[in-house]
Parts: sequence; structure tokens; C-alpha cells
Amino acid sequence: MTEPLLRVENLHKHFKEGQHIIHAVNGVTFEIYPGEAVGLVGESGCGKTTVARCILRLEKPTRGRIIFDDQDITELSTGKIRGLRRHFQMVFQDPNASLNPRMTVRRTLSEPLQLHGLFEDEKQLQEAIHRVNLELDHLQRYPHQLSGGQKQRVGIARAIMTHPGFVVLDEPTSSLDMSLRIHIIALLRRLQQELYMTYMFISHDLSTVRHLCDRVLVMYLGQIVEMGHIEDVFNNPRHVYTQALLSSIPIPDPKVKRQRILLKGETPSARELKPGCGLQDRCPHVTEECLNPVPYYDLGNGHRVACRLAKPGAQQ
Amino acid sequence: MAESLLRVEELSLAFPHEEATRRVLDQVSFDLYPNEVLGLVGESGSGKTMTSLTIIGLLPSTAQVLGGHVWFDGRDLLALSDREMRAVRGAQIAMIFQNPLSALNPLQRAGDQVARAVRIHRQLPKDEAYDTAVALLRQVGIPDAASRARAYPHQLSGGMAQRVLVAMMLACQPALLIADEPTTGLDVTVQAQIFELIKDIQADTGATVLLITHDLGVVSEVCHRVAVMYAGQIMERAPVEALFERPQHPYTERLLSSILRVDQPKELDTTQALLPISLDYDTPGCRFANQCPNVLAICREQRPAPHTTAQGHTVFCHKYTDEAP
Amino acid sequence: MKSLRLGRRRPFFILGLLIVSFYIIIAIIGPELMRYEPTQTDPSVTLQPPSAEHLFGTDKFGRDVLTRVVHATRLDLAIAASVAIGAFAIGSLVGGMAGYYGGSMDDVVMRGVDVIFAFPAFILAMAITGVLGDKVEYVIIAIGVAYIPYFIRLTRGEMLSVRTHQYAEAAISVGNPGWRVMFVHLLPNSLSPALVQMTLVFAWAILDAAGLAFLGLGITPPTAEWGVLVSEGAQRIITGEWWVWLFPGLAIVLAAFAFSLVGDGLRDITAREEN
Repeated sequence: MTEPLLRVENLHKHFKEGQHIIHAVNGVTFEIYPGEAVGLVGESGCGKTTVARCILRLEKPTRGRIIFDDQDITELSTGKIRGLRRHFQMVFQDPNASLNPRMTVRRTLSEPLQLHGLFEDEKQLQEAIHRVNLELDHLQRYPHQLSGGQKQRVGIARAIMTHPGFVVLDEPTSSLDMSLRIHIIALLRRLQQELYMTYMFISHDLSTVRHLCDRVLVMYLGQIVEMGHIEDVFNNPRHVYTQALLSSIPIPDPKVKRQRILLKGETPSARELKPGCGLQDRCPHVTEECLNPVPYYDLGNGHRVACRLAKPGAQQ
Repeated sequence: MAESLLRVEELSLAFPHEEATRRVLDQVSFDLYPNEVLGLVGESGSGKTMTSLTIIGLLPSTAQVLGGHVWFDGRDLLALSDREMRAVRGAQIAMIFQNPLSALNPLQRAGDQVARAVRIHRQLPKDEAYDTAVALLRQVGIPDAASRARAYPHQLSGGMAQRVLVAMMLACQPALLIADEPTTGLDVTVQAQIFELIKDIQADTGATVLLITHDLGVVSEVCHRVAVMYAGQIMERAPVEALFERPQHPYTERLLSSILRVDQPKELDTTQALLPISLDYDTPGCRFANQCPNVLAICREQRPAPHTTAQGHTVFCHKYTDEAP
Repeated sequence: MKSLRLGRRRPFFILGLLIVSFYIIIAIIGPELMRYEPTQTDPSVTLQPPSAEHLFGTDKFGRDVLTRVVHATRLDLAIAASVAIGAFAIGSLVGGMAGYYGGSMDDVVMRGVDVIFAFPAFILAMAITGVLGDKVEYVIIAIGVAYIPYFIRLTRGEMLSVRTHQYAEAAISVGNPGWRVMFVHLLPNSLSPALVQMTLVFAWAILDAAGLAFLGLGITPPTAEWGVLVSEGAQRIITGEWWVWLFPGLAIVLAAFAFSLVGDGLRDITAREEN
């Protein structure tokens, strides 16, 4: 049994907003194994981006532990973390905002190597450029001279410069046209195999998640409501939220008739935390049981669901 | 053949670009019939938003209309003065945009804004207008409408704000509703709700909708007919089932192959996908020629004439018009 | 060509650039081209109006006014440049740090800025010169201190904005320490408004230096400086020897005007680019 590359244990993150406390992440626990691509999905406000930022220590967790490659990095000093950053990198969401407008592609790509003392020669840059299907000519350009898709490739190249073992991808295709997404996803898959990387893929776009990831974690209001292998969760979603989420996605095929599960109302704010299931105000099958903390039910093969309906013999 | 409510005829539009001008719309033509939802589909640079802005008369001052007509209610909207166009806007043609929160007045309560639209377009006195406004908010699915009417826009979520805008539109009772990417940026579950709402309203009031989107899933669910645009040109127009089952234009075929579907497992085939190359706005011919798998010499020289392959299915492609070699 | 279009749309900016270039050329090579020395007196030709021998005439000591004006150009531009560049460099660095690190450093810096802004720039310069003395270096410091806060505020403001941009976070994520993110990534992106302000401060510094000298502070006779020249010429207004004060006066006004045009033009250009 291989050891996990990343262990997240009971992660909590709270933000203060004036008088209120925003409970962005409320007790998230999971593991990621080497070579996997794990998707972290949910809508806005579910906490997925905050989880990623805590893992990369761009935020400091309020509670809980982050263990990367058997090393507890939760409390490490910024200096020590900086040295470790060559092993875990991030591809950011907005290619227009995540590249320094005053730096050429060459500078942006050399920097990670220089910072970690890994810079040897120009060949490293050339290799990276070719890996992401860009041209050598692009090295001397500034971001504003590149298209959206090209900029995102630069962002990907930057993340893989130090050959990290772990890469977090934060909605890398959300700001791109649909026809570009397939290319970026195909690129990411190829890179993962070529460079033996492990991915954590954050997205609200379940279609791209389905084509890239091996396992998926579904988040709602700061908690994981369902997790498991892609095929299990997508073909047999057991949490009402997952079912609603999947059924909301329009399918580009008029022959497919949708059985839409509509939840009442909208996602509540993360300010007042009620005990029990986060979906209690919106779920069509809510009962008293749901007002208490909900345990995970194991459906086998790593498919776990925090919903009473997943219990064997549960009544709607 | 029913009389069309809106007819866009050979519309061409240019913008100053760097040192020259760029033809962002090239002889765009389509009809919109009463009581239907027509989807105008395309990716960035396709010109779909420019088309809608031209129809409603909200183009920036630097835009140059090079030719064509927009026939609505017996008149060419492009020939109307600003004053005449203002009378049409809101009352006969209404539009909702993406980013609903920026379309609402941040200093006025939601209910008051809807009530104002009611007062202006239905000429009702203040109290009656406000009651009508609350009823409209209820109609668009806002829970607790009476108290939500007293909220300011910043207190509303994106989904709520978009519903308020739909309510304002209903207040105007326009003949034509243009919705430009109304759910971009909204959560997917909220998106589903908004589109259910649009479908319900369309069914109840018989409104005619021009829906602008890049999402083919949305088109499949909400639209009756579709017009596909690429780099400012119309490529294909068809009823929705026909477009997905028997796409005629190579661009449409490639577009459909490029989409990742959530209901299909992991096969990734980029060989049939669109190429991420830059758009060619300068060619006198078909703008898809640079990556078309069926390209002919004539494609780069001449814009293809429309060719109707089946009932209501028209394609702009030399593959069909030049049948005889 | 983009530059030609610039000229047609912004004639004043081009005019300002031309005049500034002219001044710079004069400052660099002018003094070497002069026939006379700036302090060279000649009692036989005192207070002569402009002639072929003395294009700007002579003053009461028989010194060639043109030579003195040209030498003063070098001095005044040097002072103004030192003030502008010095205040820009110090102010931008302090402002950038205050904006990036925030906290108590920011508080201290902003209170300092408030204190300096409480005094009109010229009065402050007068006071500092009075305390420090009449050397050129002290004049530069005296004028410069008053302008440092402008740059602090401008750069701090930009820094507050750019540090929220995603590339700042990306810089941390690839392994940059905080100071390097601030210095290498964010500060260069925060300097636009400060650079524009620098040209305007240049114009103001010219006026300040001349004003101080006119009042007898900072630069004093017989050094050739525009303000000194105007001061010497002021005594001649009533007696009618207009060339002694007019030419240095024009030099001041035209210089300040030209730099202001350049500054305004730059502000328009950078504002448009941002849009």
C-alpha cells in the first residue's frame, strides 16, 4: 500500500470580517496518493480554493494539519516553506492576472529555477516551452502579446519548471473558450504522465473534472459531502447536493432528457454555521436526523457520502 | 412561413483596430420568429455580442456600420434616430447582460427599480406600480418577494439580481428579449434555475428570446433554433435537434467535437477538435478557411452563399454550394 | 507610425518635449560654447543693451548676460533633476514598502507624510535652507524633502492595489521571499504615476530654487543661477535695463512650462494606456 503524498487532517479555516466569522473550511480530511489526479469540486463559497491555499501555505490553517510527503508543514516558518516550494506548485485561474505584465516569458520561467538554485542553461527554458506546445519565439514576448490560451500555457510551464511532484490547478480552464479547454486538459494529462506529477484540480466545471481526474471530492459550505472514484461519483451520486449539481449541468445533446433536481433557494452564507448537514435548508429530503452532525457512510471502493440516504435501507 | 419578428439582413460592422479597421461582423443574416428562442452561439471574437448591441442600438461611438439592415416592426432600426431608438428600447426590445449586479442602480432598492419600470411602461400610479413590482418579483421566483423588494442590490446574490432584471423586463412587456450570456459567472445550480425561469416565462408569456451564449449545453436545453457564428460570420442556422444530430458546417462539427461532456467518460480526442489559432478578419472569403479540413481554393477568395439543405437548415459553406466540380 | 500619431494628437506634449530637449542640450554643451566666463567682469561695458557682442546685453558688472543665463541653465537643471530623481527614488521606495508591509511601518510613514504636508513646500524649503546654510547640496535637500511625500503617497497607493493581483501571489508560490516580491515584481508595476509626477516636480523644483535664490537663500551671487539673475535684474526694472531680468525670467518660466507640458502629456498617455 503506497503512502499518501498529501494528507489533510481536519482542516479548518476561518476569516474575520468585521464582527462576523466566515467559516470557509470546516473540518476537511482527505488523502492524495502519488500519481493521482484528484478533483475538488463545488460552487462559489464552498471553500475549495481556501483548502488549496492552505495546502500550499498561502494561508495558514486555523486548525488541523497538512502533511506533505510525511512532513508536517502546518506550522513551518515561511522561510522553511519557501525552500519546499519547488516540490509543490500552483497553476492560477486567471492567465491575464497571474503573469507579471512587465516580465517577459523568459524571465517568468527562469525565476523559479533561479530562486531554487536550479538554473543551468537556456535548454531548460526551451524544453519547458516545447512541452507546453509553445514556440521559442514566445520566450521574448510580454504577456500582452500573447493570447489567453498561450498565457495559460505559460502559467502551466511556470508551475512545472522545478519539476514539482505536486501541482494544484485552480480552475485553469474557467476563463478559456470551450474549444481551448480540451487542448489544455489534454496537455495537462500528457504532462502528468511525462513528469510523474500528482494533481489537485479545483473546479466548478464538472465536465473538465471528469476528463482529467481519477477521484473527486465534492464540497459544500466548507465540508466534503461526497468523495470517491470519478466513475462511482458521476454515475452514482449519492449525496443530494452532488445529484443536484450534476443534474444542473446542461448537456449539449437535445436527445438527452434531464431529470433536474432543483434545490430550494441559494447557498447560505458561511457566517452562521448550523450543526448538521449544510444542505438542511434546501434539501427536499431533509429530516430531523439531518440537523445533527452527519457521519460518512462508506459505499465501498473509497466512495464515501455524508448523507443519511446513503445508509442501507434509508427511507426518503 | 410565419412573418419574422426580427430580421437581421447582411449586417456588417467595423471597429478601428490598431492602425486600420477590423470587420467584426461580416454580412450577418438571420431571422427571429415570434414565440421562439433563437440561440446565437459562438466563442470569443465571434461577434455575437456585437450583433446584439447593434440590434438594441448600444454600440460604442467608434463602431462603424458598414451595411445591412435590422428590420423590426416594419422599420430598419439602423435608420432610426437616437430618440426613436430610445422609444424602442425597453418598451419593445429589452436586454439583460451578464454581471447583473452592475446593471442595477446600487443606490435604489430592488423593488423600487422594478416599480419604476412598471410605472414608465405600463403607466400605472405609484402604489399600483409597486404592488405589480412585488408580484413580478414573485413571478420570477424570488422567495419572500415583499421583503426582498426592500433590499439593495449589494444585498442580493448574483442569481437574485438576475431575477430582478428579468422582473424589470417583464414589467416592460417587450416583444423581444435579448439575453447576453445571462448566467456567466453564476454558479451552475443557479444557472439551471435561471434557465428554467426563462423557459417558464417564455412559455407563459409567449415572449421571443434571442439568447447569446458560448455554451452549447444551454443551447440544447433552452433554444428552438440556433445560429452559429465564427469570427463575425454566420456559419450555419438550424433547428436545435438538426444542428446537433446533423451538423452541416465543418466549424460546427469541430465545435461539437471540442466540447467536453460531463456525461461521457474519459476519452480525450483532440484530433477532431478546433485549433487554437488566431481569427482571420481580413480574408474576403470564409473566415474558417485557415483550419477547415474541407477547405477548397475558392474558400479563401469568396464568401459562400447560403445553401438550404433541409427545412430551416441553412449552411454557409462552399462544400455545398459548389456541388458541380 | 505610432509616434507620428502621438504628435498629431498631442501637439502640446511634443512642444514640451522639444523645449525640454533644447534646455537639456543647452545645459550640457552650452557653457563650453560661450565666449565669456560667467563671472568675468568688464567695467567698460556695464549695462549695455543686447548687441552683436553681447546677445543678451550686460549687467552692472559688465558680465555677459547670455553666458550667465546659459551657465545658470546647467545649474538649475542639475538642481531640479537631483531634487526630482532623489525625491522619486526615496519616496517611491518608502511608499512601496509602506504599502506592501502595512502595519506600524505604514502608520509611521503616513504620519510623517502628514507632518510634511502640513507645511507649504516653499516655506519648508526656506526653513531648511535657513538652518542648513547656502550650499547647493542643502538647497537640493531642502526642496527635495518637501516633495518626497508626494511620491510616498502615489507609490503606496499603487502598491496597495497591485499587491492584490494574482501575479503577486504567483510570485510567492514559485518561492520568492516577501521582500523580493515587493521589490522585483510589485514596485516596478507601481511606479507609473510616480514617474509622471517626477516631471512635474522637476518643474516645481526649478521655480523653488529660483524663488529661494531670489530671496537670497540657498544659491547666492555671484553664482549664476536664474533666481540670482532675476534678483540682480529686479533692481534694474525701474531704471529700464530690461535685459538683465527679462532673459533669466523667461528662462525660468519657459522651463517650468515645458516640463509641466511633458508631465501633463505623460499623465494623459499613461491614463489612456491603462484604459
